[in-house]
Amino acid sequence: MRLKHDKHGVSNVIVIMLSLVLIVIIVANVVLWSYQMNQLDWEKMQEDIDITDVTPIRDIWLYNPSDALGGSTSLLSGDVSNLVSDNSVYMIFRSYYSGNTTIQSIANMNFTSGAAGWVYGESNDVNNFASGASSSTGGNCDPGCYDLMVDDPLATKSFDVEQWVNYTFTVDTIPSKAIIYVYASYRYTSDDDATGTPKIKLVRPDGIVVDVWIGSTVTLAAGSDTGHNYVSVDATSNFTMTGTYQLSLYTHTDSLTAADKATVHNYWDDAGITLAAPVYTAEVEFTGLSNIEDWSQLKLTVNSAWTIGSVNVTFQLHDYILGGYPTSGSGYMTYTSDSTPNTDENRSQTINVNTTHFRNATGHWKMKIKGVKATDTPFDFKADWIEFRAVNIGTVFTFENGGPLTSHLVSLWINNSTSHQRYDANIFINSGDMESYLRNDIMLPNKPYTVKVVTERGNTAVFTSH
Amino acid sequence: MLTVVAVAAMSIATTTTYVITTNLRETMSERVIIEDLWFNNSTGNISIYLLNVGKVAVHISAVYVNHTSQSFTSSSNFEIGEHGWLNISYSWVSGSLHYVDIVTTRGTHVGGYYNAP
Repeated sequence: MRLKHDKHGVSNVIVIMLSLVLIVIIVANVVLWSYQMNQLDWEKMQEDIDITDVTPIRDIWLYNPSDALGGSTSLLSGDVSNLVSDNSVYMIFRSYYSGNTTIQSIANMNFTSGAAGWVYGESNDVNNFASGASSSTGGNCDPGCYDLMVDDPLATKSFDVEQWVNYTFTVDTIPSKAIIYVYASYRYTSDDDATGTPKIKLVRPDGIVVDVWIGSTVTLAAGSDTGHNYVSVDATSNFTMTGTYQLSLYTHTDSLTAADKATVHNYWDDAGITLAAPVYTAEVEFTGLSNIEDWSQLKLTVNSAWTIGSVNVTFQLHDYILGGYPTSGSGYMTYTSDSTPNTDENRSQTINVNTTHFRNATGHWKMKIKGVKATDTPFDFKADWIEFRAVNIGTVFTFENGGPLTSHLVSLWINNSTSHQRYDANIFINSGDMESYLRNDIMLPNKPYTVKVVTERGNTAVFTSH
Repeated sequence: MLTVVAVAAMSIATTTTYVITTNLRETMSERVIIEDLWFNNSTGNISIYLLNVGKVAVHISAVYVNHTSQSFTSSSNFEIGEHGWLNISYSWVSGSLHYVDIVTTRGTHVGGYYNAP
């Protein structure tokens, strides 16, 4: 009986104790949360942020080159004083011969993975010993090549066959001073006595077949392997017209004795045409001095002309962080000049990011203008106006914190009747402080407009234009 | 036996208390402000930019304009510190006063009277 009463007592104590714990936890949490949120609300009420001023800024600095370095390009007339305005008074530079440009007319010239584009032919193969196909062995440099093979399995028969493999290509233009090379690599192997005579032929658009190269007759014996022999021939005189040509890799193979049952391979590889035309280049580097202010925008403008049409032109602005002239992106611009010679053209590029990369610590800048053209005669570059324009645009906001707490501004709004634009901000202003805040990415719209700033606690301050 | 019953009952009570107090805490911690309200002439809609300045994520459950529920687009969930547009399809009247009321799933209201330009 006493034990039963004791158990009741223990239960009651547990229930009461746990209830008390629960009540204490609930009350404590409610008080704590209430305190925290009341503190948040109290701080919000105490906050007093104000926008006292909003001022647009727009500083523009204009610079022209103070020097021009031509390198191999020669100065014909004028000086940098001619570059300050677009007035058709030029500083003129003469281009120089800078080498040849090449046009490859043969695709699949290495037979690396087959003989696509090549067509096999033969004559005088009375016993059907000859064949031709791409081969995955026997090539020059890489294994692939084309194999002109004669295989005599009969001791009673001999062979005296001609074989070739042709590639058809088109020549659209032939500059008057073009140099045209035809080249290929050949190799003979044999397991018995035979002779082989290699040739490179050209079938012209008018149908005339020209032997552009005739090799010496090679005498072969059992185990012969000539290795690859590279041939390059100046075939300029054979390219007198545009149109469709055929490059023909040819061999004449002759067995000396019927009883030998010779098998002869004639491997061809690395066959092609090089059409080389002279190239002239005008390349001038201009330098100048600017300032070391903050720039939000940089604009490079060049007004120039070329005494020949369709020059490939490149403008490059020296990037001092990169340590050289960029080959893409900001500070790099290419175009093909007008097809009519002596046409004044205005070209410009505006840079909005990393603008100060394009000057050094003392404000010096430099740019390069290069014009390249495949042509027979030198041409001139006529620089009329070059301007390096540095701009600092943006808006200065002035905030005042009249409250007793530090305020954290998290967003800025620029509103007018047609746009409500939000900008992220991250500004801390101590109690009683006045802070100026420059934003180069914010351009104020036409009046009337409203500027609004929002704090992390959720308060806003508004400035209305007048 | 009575002790086991008492412990079980208190466990249920504890769980219930946890659920209730969590909900209470979240409700107390909700703070949302309207950063910007735009009577957009080009779309004819009302666009509201909200910022969650409270201590819990909020979910917008309803938007009322002049005490009438309106449909809205864009995200209705705002994590702590998150902000974004809420677009309301509503043919507002220029020069009129509009009462906008945004309600969260926990019952917090944010809004006020706005004069259409």
